[in-house]
Amino acid sequence: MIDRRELYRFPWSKSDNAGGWVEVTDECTLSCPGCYRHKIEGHRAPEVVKQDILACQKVTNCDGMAIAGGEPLIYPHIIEIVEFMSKLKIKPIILSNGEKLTPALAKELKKAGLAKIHLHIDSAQNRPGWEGKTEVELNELRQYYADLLWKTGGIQCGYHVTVFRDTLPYLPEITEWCKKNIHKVQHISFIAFRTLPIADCIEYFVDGRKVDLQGVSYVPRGQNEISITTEEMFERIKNRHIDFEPAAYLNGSTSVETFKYLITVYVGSQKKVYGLLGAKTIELVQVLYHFFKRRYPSFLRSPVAGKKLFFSALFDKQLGRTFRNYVRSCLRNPVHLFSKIYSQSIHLHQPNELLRGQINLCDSCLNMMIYQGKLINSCRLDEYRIFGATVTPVEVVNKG
Amino acid sequence: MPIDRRKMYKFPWSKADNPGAWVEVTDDCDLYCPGCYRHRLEGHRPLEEVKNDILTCKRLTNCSRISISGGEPLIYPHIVEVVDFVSRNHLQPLIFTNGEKLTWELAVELKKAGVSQVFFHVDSGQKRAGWEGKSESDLNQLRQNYADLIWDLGQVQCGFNMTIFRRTLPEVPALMDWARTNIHKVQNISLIAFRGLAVTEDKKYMVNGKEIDASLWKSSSEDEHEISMTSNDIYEIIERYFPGSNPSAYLSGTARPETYKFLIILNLGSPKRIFGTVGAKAVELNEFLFHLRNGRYTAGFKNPKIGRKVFFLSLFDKEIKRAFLRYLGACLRNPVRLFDKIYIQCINIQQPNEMLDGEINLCDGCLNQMVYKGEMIPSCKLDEYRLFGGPIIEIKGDNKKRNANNH
Repeated sequence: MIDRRELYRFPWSKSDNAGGWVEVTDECTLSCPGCYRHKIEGHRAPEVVKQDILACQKVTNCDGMAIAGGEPLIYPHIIEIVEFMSKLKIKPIILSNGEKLTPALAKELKKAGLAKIHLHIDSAQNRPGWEGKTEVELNELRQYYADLLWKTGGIQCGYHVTVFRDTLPYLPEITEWCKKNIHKVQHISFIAFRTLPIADCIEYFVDGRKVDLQGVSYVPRGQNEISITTEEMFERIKNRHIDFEPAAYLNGSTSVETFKYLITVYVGSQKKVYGLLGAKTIELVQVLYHFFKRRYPSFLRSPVAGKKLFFSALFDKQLGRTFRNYVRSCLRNPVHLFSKIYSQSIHLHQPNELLRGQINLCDSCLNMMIYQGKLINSCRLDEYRIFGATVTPVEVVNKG
Repeated sequence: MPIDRRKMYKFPWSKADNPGAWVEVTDDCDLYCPGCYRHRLEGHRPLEEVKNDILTCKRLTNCSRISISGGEPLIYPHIVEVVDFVSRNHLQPLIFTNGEKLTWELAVELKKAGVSQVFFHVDSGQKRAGWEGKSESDLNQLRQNYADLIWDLGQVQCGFNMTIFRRTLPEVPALMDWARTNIHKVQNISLIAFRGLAVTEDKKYMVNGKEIDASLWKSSSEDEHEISMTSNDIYEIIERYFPGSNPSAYLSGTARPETYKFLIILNLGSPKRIFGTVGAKAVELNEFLFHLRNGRYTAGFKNPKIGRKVFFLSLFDKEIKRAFLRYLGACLRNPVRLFDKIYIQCINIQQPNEMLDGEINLCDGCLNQMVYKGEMIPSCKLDEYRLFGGPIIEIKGDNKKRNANNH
């Protein structure tokens, strides 16, 4: 049971947010279930992308910005976009499936100022050469990219995994792999699969007009498939990793009690994970960064948190426990004293969903983007592109 | 002077971590104010239901205060009990009233029950008995009566809400002038731009897929110009008459983040003179330290008699530094000023719930969320749920034509 009073609710909002989002193309080399994007316009003109970046920075006051798609690494101007963003003092984060990531491209991206790359890897993608592999077997592919970026240096590494009912049992093992790679992997997002349900009891409207989502939206195999919650994912991981405790969250926009983002942060070294950060440390980092830099941090530039982090144990009970574990490890084996201290965040996401008849979005979503001059939720972009506006669900009580 | 967002602090409030929440005890009222969102549908609510809503609000929003509203809460027979219940749950009870039923005896009872602030809605649109045809300047006399009553009561903060219409916009400086000389008695002034549903030939609305009859909606207007006043319009007139009234914090719009739904100016001074304003850094520090210590945010300052210690914040806050220099200058010219008490006063300019280009633009981080059927909703939208069963959506141009053709 997650006790909300023990967690920190991120202080973000639409106009003062740690993150922003821009898409460079809607073309992709894979076709992942759960993807919101349709192939409609191909590669976007770099000048239009740059204008969107500037507008997004102005409206959201963001610290980091996701460069997404489609697959951004097939976009011919990707280096130019990363460089442009970096010059604006925004931390560029690429969201990629990794297919086109080579050591040479990684070096170029590093030179252009790329701060982080999030690689989407999961078993539903059926990527060539990895068909039929389980999530555990895919850790080998994750390890390959983690090693590639570790060797490149200077680019943080993160993973996205879309979670389905049949892959839910694998979360503890992926978490285990992550913890072992705390020095190489700074982030992992477990994203519960969501899509708008197509059923007789629901009709969808756009601007007063009934629309048909058949052929536009992925049709789930059943309600059970699109109902995995962050709490459920948390319980799965917690069963195996008893130390697993979240520290911060974002709630839902219509159902406030839902956890749309649930964040746990591990602290450790190459040798051992010592424990976790608590809510107070995350709060201190957010507010102090904002007080001095006038914006909230999306993440810190260096994955090496360093031993100075332990000062926060004065306020943070959770970190206090971690510090005691660290001291014990140092006493048992003084080599620990010379190990670098890293932090690694594990995000559980429950994205855009239809809940109790309403669209339940992430309140203070980190992934807002510009569409035709307006700030919108990136998960809803194709509702605008296909239908001209957002879709409103209506529950049909007595059909016919 | 245009508003520079980079010099302001965006309140960190959200739906799940918000200093405020809202509960309504009745939808009966003894006045009929244009711009009011509430329709008379259910009368006084059962006390137990109100108490349950208060507890749910506390649990879901992590609030530090509850606004008790309506309708007119002072005609609710259990009002003292509700205030007492809020207070016993370690929340600050605020009452939003038109003041008509506030007597000295009732005020004493409410104070005893723990009321922390009383907000009076007084403006010339209300046409209240005995004050018909009076201007906003004339109504300052009524405001003074209420401010004096609360001042005599002691330890309860006093605020005023005023709906601003196009015709009353030029009177805002007269109200501000009165508020500034009463900085010791009046802690909050909310200037709320009039909003309503535009009922014109080309506007159509729907709820849950069905077109609705917008004329059922009480707060509607045939004049779109009347319901288009922005926070910027109100701020400009204040700034013109009182230069240096710099806003320090804001809430933005949900659909249009560039709009200012709450725009906060914090006056700093004594009844004799306003020395300046509080800046963004001091507001940020107040929010951040309060949250770090108490695990929740605050909307306002606990003690409006803030004292000279506020000037220590000059170290971080340029606005306070400017006010401090003016204070020092005033003290040098007349050392008696050294004995003046220093107060803080909040001027809150609001641009409420509105339909902008067919999109609903609410307050992002709204302070006035309430429980309706177990979910948190913005209180300004309550009657959309009660009357129509869900939020009202505008049907945009092309589709109206398409629908008409289909019929």
